[in-house]
Amino acid sequence: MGLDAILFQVLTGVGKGMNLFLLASGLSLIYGVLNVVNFAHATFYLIAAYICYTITGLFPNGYWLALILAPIGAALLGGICERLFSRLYDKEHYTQIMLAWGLILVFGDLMKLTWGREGKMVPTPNALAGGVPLLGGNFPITYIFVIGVAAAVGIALYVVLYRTKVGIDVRAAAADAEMTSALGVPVDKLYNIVFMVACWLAGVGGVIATLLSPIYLGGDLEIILAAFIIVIIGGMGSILGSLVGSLIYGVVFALGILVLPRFALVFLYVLMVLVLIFRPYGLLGRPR
Amino acid sequence: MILGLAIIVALPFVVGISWVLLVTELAILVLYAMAYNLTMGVTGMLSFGHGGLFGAGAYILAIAMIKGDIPMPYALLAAPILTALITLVIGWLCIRLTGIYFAILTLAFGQLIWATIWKMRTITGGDDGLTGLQVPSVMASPTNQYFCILAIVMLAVLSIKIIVDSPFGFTLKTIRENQTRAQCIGINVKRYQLLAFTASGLFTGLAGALFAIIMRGAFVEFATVARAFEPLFAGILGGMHVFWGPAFGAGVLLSLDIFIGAYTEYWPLVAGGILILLVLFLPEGIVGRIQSMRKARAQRLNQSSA
Repeated sequence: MGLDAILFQVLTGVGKGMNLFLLASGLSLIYGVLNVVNFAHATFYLIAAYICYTITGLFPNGYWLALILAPIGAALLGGICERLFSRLYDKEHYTQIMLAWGLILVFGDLMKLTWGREGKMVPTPNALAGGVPLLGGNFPITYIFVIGVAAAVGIALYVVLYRTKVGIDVRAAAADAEMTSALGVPVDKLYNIVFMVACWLAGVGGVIATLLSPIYLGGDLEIILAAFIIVIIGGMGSILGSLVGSLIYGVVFALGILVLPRFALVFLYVLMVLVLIFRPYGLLGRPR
Repeated sequence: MILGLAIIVALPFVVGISWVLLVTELAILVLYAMAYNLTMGVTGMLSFGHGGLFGAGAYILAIAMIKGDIPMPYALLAAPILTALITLVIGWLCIRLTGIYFAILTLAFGQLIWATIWKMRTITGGDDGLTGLQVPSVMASPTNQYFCILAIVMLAVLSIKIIVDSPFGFTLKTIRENQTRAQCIGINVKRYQLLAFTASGLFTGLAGALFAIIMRGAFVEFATVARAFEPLFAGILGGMHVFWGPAFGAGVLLSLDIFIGAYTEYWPLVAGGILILLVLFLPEGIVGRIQSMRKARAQRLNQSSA
């Protein structure tokens, strides 16, 4: 295989990875700030994708409207679910995972009720059709869009977390919730907001994902494992870590498909084990 | 205990065939839940890989009997042993991690097994699965099958009980309660965890193999993530720190599955709702709650008499 073709494949991997970054960053955020393992995070991603499908079905050129509305929907749903998780904040992780599994079951059936069993596809909006000639192939504009949006959102996230008062409050709550609360920060409300923002991120990821692949029931279970691998490799609780992890995931998976198409994920499992052997908290993670 | 045995023996002569088949399936799910609890409830290791191990046991038996023409007794011996070997390898890799990392890696391996089953069509039949399992004539009737499987399950559960009640089991519980402390008193935590995980995998493989027998084949659905969550659900329902908790939970779960499944195809919706309520309001499980209520009452009686 020519170097050009390999690089092309790597770039598509970067695209898919950046899409997953939106999902993984939210997951990392929830773990870092609330110490909650949100096994159901990808379900918000999937719900947003379905909502996007509906909106694009209702309005011509609805995709841009969906990009705004669907993540908000996911965030609102997240706000409600956070109230359920809040009862388990200091409990064992497995209880949180079981709560999440219950939510996955409930939402899964609600999605089946609303949208039916068949897979759905969202038509590519005209502005994003076609591709640019690159490396001997036609690199789809949708992938460029995905990378762009994910990068923009990532930068925005960084700015909010490290350059605003809210961001300081969030990081403080992640470091020491009790003390932060004692200093007058409403930590409960903060937790709710953080959860909603994380779900909003997942929602954006889901809407963008509709450009790359079809929507189907059970897609959330496939993606959540990827998200966890990313977050574990990158470091749970680190946003930059989830960026690094996402890029690694995307590239390794894309290359893995070239080598062992049926078992590309194995490379990632091996990588995950290796990373954890040498850096038990992930590449950029820190012990709680 | 004697009453229970009497019921088990008398059952097929009292109720209809569909009930007999149901209880047979229940027995296997009970074994699965108890096997899983060896990892989760007894040793405190959260695992999501058991779905893959269950499927592995089922497929090993099915492949042996359908493709390899191996007679059932040998296949039934091979399946749990080979599954245990697989579990040993997976466990050896996973055990270097703890907590949520361990759980996710086991999930990864469970998915790997599922993907392998799915993709290797020539051996496993892929999406279609393997059918046409020939059961030996001694097990041809539902009643005979019932007795054979019940006997195997009871032996297996008895073995698990012996393990749990033994000094080995006590060490596992010590590790569950406080890993660091266990290490400080000289217990080789990793080795015990690996042994517990492997034993759990052995019985899970047996459960999977038995399931393949009653289903007369093996199908990809035996190894899904949902399958991995079932015994955990049963444990939470019944109670993970009580020996018979997961068994009770498996019974309730299967009953709900059948009864609610008869009315609607949206059983997951109901199951999810129940699970959410359980986790939020009854995390120790039904049997666990009964036990703690009994203890509380006993304490109150003691105090009032003192």
